[in-house]
Amino acid sequence: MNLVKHAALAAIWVAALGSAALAQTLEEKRDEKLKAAFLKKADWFLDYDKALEAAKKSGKPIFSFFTRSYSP
Amino acid sequence: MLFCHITTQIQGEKHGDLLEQKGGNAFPFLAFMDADGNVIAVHNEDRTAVEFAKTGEKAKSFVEAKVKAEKGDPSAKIDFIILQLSFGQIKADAAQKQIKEAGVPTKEQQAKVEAELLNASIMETVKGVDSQEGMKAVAKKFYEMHKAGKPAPTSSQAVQAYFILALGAADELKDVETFAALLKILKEKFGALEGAQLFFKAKEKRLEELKAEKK
Repeated sequence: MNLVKHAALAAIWVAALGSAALAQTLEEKRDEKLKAAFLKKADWFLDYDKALEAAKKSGKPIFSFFTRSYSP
Repeated sequence: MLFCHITTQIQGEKHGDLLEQKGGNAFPFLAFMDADGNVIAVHNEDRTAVEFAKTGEKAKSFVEAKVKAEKGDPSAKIDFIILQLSFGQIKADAAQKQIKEAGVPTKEQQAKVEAELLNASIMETVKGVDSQEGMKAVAKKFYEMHKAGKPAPTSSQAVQAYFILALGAADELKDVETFAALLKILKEKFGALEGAQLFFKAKEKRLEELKAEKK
């Protein structure tokens, strides 16, 4: 097998492994974000529907912090 | 109450596009919502406890004013329109029309209305620009307003837009005194912000160049 075919196969393997790793990594990154220190310092709702429900009961506005886990 | 939304990009996750739904387009996005999920206020000010508390108080007043306004209290209706205007929920002309229909504002309310109308007018002017020439024309307009001693805006966003654009016009016109005065105002308001240091360094340098050119 020549070098070009080797390189092509290697690229396909890397792409396949990378793609599997990416999906797994998104879940892991989310779980890591959920362990963030700031979330332990106060009572944060992480469920949007439950936050709305609680806001209706209390009559208080919701302070919303939108962040991400898929990227730093 | 506190709500944290984490955009994960995991396929199929519930409310995955909530940031976009709420009008956000960058992280972090900080906003106050009411119990129906409507965004009452977006926090664009400094991320300090003092500023969060201010925006929080505005959001709380918004919810309370909305309830009172819905009960028919004319003064509360005007307060609510002022708050909607301050949060960019209604445009200046719509606010003026609704205030006329609601009743006669008190002196205090009138002062707030005028301040918020100015803020709204400035932001609407800036948002309406779609070309470089258009931006230069707006910059010149703000420069002339400042030179004429017209009242300055008060909201952080409008202040930034107004004074930065006016500064650009002063630079273009080689008006050293006005450039220096505008720069001083901007430094007083935003000089402590870490993210603004490069901007101020560049403008200080430009001021020296303008002074040298004048000699």
